Amino acid sequence: MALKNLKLAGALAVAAVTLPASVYATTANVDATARFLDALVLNAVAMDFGTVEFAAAPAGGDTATLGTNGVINYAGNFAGSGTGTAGQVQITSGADGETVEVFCDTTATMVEGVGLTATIDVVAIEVVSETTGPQAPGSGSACGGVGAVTPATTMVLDIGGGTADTFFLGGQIDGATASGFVAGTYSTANAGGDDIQVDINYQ
Amino acid sequence: MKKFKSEKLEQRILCALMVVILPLSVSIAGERDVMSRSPASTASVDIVAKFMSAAMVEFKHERFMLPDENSINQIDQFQDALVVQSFNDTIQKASVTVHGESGETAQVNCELQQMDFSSIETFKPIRAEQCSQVVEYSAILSGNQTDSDVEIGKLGSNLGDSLQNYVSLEISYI
Repeated sequence: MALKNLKLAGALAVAAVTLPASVYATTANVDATARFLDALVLNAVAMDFGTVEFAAAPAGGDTATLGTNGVINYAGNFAGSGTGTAGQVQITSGADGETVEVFCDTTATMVEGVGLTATIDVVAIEVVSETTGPQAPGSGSACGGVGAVTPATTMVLDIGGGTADTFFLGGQIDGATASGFVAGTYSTANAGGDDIQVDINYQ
Repeated sequence: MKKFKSEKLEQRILCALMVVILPLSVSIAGERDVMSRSPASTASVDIVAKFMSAAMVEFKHERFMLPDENSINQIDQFQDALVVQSFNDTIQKASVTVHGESGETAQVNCELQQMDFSSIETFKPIRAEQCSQVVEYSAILSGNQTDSDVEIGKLGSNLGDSLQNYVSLEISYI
């Protein structure tokens, strides 16, 4: 009797696993959808602080803050003309009407171009969309890193009209981060430098 | 006893079904995680800046004083801008020495300013003109030092008690 039950159980299990379609057939139709969008093609323009004059070796409190509108505010021992060039990332190809979101690094490191040992950081990197428009120093949306959960900002693309295809970036040179400082031309493109990574994707 | 065996049978059937169904549900959940953010396009934005020591002017004189000081300063060093006050309306001689980054071009602008008591507070002169001999002084710095004598003339003749002469010097890189 026990052996018979065991055989019956085995048969039912096999039937349940291998033959459900023929025994308990139900039908469902699964639709497939896909959204095909033009790949985003980006073109970057460097951020330029111009000439920064220093009255003493940079230290804490010495800052040059570049707004997304190109205006520079100085503090401490830094001085200058007050104007520079905001960084830009222009989307040259993509799908108009779609919303894109931007993620960007929080800091960058510039290296002096001759000795390649002196460094100074750019902190508090901020970004605004062309739709919002360039802003005064410190008035943009703070970059939270390329791995952030939420984007720094978003924009509905209008590449064809040319009214919403660019993000503007600003930041602050922080004298407290200076290391081995000497006068000279500094760039994130020099060996050992770290630029601003900007990731843009469709929402 | 039969009932017990029957329960075990049901459990086996359920286990067999679970083996088939579970991998399907896990797979769907995994696909959703991957699809949460569309692929990103990446750009690298470089940053550049040129750091130079600030330009500075050394102003040597005998007959001027800073507005907020009581004593006459024989030598004043300043960056960006300086305003000094004349004791009288006679022509003064002074020497300007420019310090700054070698190889750069600095510009010194010298202006005579006439103020009354109300305009002194705002430093907005009621009248201004360029210094008589050195109106605008530009030089490519070499060895971090360039000298020039400046002759500062008086402003007109209407210098009563309510009017005072000032000299404004500004320096900047160009």
